[in-house]
Amino acid sequence: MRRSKIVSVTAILVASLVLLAACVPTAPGVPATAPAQPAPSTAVPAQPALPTTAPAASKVIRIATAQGCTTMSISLAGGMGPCEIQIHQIFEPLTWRTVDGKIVPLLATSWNMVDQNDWQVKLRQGVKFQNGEDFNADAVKFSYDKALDPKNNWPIRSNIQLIDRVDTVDNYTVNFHTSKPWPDFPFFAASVYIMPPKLTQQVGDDGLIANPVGTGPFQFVEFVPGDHLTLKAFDGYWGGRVKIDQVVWRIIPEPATRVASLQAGETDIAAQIPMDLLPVVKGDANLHVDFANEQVTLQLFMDTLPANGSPVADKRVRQAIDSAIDRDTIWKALMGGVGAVNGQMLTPGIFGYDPDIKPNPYDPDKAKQLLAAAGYPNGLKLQLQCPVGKYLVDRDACLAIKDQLAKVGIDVQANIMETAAWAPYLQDPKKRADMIYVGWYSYGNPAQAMQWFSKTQAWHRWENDQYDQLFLDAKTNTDDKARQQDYFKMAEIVKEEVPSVFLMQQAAPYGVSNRVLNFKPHPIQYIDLLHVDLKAPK
Amino acid sequence: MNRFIGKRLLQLPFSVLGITLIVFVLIRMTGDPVVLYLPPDATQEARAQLTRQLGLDQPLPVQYGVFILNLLHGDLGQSLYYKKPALDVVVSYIPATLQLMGTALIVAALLGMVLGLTCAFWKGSLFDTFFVTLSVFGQAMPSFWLGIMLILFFAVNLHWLPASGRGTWANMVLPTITLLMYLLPSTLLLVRSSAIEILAEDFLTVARAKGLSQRAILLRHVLKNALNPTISSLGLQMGSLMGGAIVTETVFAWPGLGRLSVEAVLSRDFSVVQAAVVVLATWVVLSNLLADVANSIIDPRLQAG
Amino acid sequence: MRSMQRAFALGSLFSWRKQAELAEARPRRKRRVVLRLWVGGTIVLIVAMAGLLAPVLAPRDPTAQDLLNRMKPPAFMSPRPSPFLLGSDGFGRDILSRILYGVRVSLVVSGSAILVSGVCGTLLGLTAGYYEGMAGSIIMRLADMQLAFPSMLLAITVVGIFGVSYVNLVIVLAVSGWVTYARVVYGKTRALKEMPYVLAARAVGATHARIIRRHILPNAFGVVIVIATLQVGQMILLEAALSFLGLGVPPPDPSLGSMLSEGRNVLAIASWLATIPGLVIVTAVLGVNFLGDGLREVLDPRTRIQ
Repeated sequence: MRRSKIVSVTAILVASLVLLAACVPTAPGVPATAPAQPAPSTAVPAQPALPTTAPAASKVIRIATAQGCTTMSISLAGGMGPCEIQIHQIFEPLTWRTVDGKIVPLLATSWNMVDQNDWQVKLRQGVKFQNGEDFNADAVKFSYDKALDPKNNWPIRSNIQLIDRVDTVDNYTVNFHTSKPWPDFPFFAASVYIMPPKLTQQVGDDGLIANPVGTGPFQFVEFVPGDHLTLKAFDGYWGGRVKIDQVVWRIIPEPATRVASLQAGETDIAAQIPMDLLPVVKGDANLHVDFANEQVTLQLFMDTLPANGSPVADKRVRQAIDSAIDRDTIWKALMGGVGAVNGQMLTPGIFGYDPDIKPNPYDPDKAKQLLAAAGYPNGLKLQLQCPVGKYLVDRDACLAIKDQLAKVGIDVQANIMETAAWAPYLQDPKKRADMIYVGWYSYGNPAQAMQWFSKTQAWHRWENDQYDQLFLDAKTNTDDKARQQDYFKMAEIVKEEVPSVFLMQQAAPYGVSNRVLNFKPHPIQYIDLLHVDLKAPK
Repeated sequence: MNRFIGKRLLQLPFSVLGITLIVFVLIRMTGDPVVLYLPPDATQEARAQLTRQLGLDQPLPVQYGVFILNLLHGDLGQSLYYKKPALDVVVSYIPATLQLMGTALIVAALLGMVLGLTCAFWKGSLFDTFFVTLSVFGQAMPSFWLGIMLILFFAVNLHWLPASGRGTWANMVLPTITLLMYLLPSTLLLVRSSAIEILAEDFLTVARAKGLSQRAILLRHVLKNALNPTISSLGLQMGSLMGGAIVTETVFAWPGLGRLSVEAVLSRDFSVVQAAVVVLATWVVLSNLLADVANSIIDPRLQAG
Repeated sequence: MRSMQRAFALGSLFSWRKQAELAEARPRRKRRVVLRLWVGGTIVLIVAMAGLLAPVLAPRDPTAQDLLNRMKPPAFMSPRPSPFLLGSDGFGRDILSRILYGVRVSLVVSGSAILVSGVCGTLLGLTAGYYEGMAGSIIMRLADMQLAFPSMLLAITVVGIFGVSYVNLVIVLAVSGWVTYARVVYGKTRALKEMPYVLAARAVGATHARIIRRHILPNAFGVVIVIATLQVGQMILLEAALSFLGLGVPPPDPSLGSMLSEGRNVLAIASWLATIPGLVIVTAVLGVNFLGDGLREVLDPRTRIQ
């Protein structure tokens, strides 16, 4: 009696759960929404929930990101801070990095090295902050002084501390005095945001954080940490008012939910779509995938320093690893066809990238021979430290590499760890591992990525005098031809010595609603909304 | 009664101090926030500077002493990533947390009472068996599985409800159901069992013999006796749900305290972790105390200890 | 934390069954208990055997990858014949084989964690409930503190200092689990020690140790068993949450929990990745539940069936 009841109820429950699972589209090719329902993303009242101050007819774009944007303070911005993308809509730097990796004027109109140690920058005239304050040389000096002040300890300071003095020449000319010749100044000028000096002095740093005011295309409206940030178009933007009226940035940490919100028409752009969910986006008639190949190469960074006693100190072991990894398969299976296989530190389009350098072919037999020659005919054990959630593909790539290396006799202990536990392996000499899975960003500047093989970097794990000479020359040489030759030569040395086993160029995939027009993903995860428009709802 | 409350309130600071000490030491063992905060090419000097600024160069006992001194002044430090006082950050997450947890708890309590009593009265019926089995299922079902399935079904396929975020009542439905799936079983089973226990007891037989109507029996005795364990369980749930609904909060992008504290741990924002723990510990102790007090008011025989 | 909220439910499940059964006629009750033992026992036996015989039963190596055949649907969902009976996961590994080995890992890990947390929690609860006073207060406030404590922090600390290992995982799970036992046993002990027979035993001069051993522990044992059986599921789910951050079972070893969280992202396109281990967990929990319930019945001094 009772048992049959329990059994039947259990059966019903299981059946309903399975049904619920089955209701969900299983084939990626099948659109989740029936074609009978035209464009639900616009037909459905798109989340009345979110507070919007704009009138109903206005164009509101809703963007979902994974990371929690925590503060509107520009002190954290300039690298890849938690609110980088959002802050960049409100504040602007002097220069900017375009989608194709060039440095272009933004608040500056031109810059030149007036002598070895001085950069003179002409500023854009007629630019106003969102509170009406004039943008001028004082604002630039004020902002740079703040960023350079050791007391403030902004993360960006390390990158710009070659500047030892900022002088205003006239109202729209600023002179940057550097302690050493610094050809990279225009590149790093794209990381320092300009804030309004009078307002900041008036309301204080905290006041500016609570109610940020910059020169950018969007104005601050509301910020609810952990939930959303609302910005509206700044009518007086010097570059002309943007086409959309309002942008709501939402934080949706769970990837499956991010995609679901896109499908449900609650968001228009969703960032950081995991590879495995791309088919879902592609399969939805109202959505499409946009991606940019990023300026970062995922790699296994080797600890080659003899003092550390790792087996990978032997060049042949590194070469064996290089030959034992089947990049193409990993790329196809785990990157879902976006990004690219890459065999060098720099990525295509970056100054110094050598198109002639190809990744080593997959050759397990050669790997075995190299291992035997290195004195490991019966294999060896290696440690691989791997972050989880730091890169588009990290944990999975590490596990696939572990599997592939096992086939040539390398027993890899893949330590999957949260980012904060993994980071010290790159920056703490006491924490060492044979291999670290890492992606070094160039942000468009070759030196930024190539520095990790140089002795000038405190945390280097490989020493090569010839490389160092080339690196230093490329850093300060003002002749572009010579610089490029330097980078080519460096890449050749790296290719031969294998201080890192390069794997793939990472991509930044976005799920985008078809009502979004002119959206172009940026290779370093910025979201540029200047030209973005929305189709009018039907 | 007053002495009991006083005693428990007196214990409160010690509980809070105890847990902050443990958390304070543990979080400092998990690594250096400077490594994560500054870019990898930051100079040694910048690192040293930030370490000094955060007070991390001091010996641990000194750091803790400073922390306690500031705590006494209501200052829980500045958040590294929020750029405002850590306590403000934690407090700003409380309304959303209370909204979702409060709704889920109230629904669970009411529904649990009704269903539990019904189950008890018709013990062994199909209704009863269904809900008891569902409860066992609910306990073993992963929250994220249920949550994502609900989103895919109700938000993506049917377009009935929003998938995520916080806003109108519609945003509350799916996360509340997900939370209910593990709140309801405990309340339901609890009410049911106490009701069955009471229904079998002698005084009810006497009451029936005295000719009291069914409804009177239900209200006067069963409900009153079923209330006690329900309140104890509510007290517990109230305490643990504040920081313990991490999966639901993450899946539904709900800005709750659980998510905040996990994110703070992962980003090594020490002062936010500490502030969250101080708030959570106070809350847990108070809600348990509240439950005990409520119980002894309802049933004076239960002198809580 | 999640398990904590269940503490009361578990206790109530126990007393519900007890009361329901007391009211029933003996032969019928006996039949029902036997039935439960059979059903639960069979499920648990099947699951345990599956884990034990994994090396024999598994059609493939559970960690062998086949990246070109990833996320293939189970044979019954697949239009074409598939070498993967229950489909393949994100690395093209055979889900059936991983389930078989995963059952083994999950049962051992959650079993050990339950044993450790059960013994510690019960002892602490007994002490707090029986002696009350200072010791009792301290133990119960410790339980409060545990509730406010982010278990993720503990996991990160332990793993950060000692690395990922099964022993560390068991420690983390046990520390997160003891409060449930302590709280329930505490309440039970306080109620039991006022029972006439305990008071009588004390009056005739029985030692505390004897009272605890002879009267309190056997009577509190039932509830401990019930909690333990339901915690099987809790522990597996907690391990799933931890393995998501690389704090659980060291990959690529399979566990039901890690399989569950690996399927988390792809529920929309490859629901079997998470659903199959999920169903196994639910089944195992139900089986363990029935079995534990029957066992408790047999062991409980008051409801013991002759």
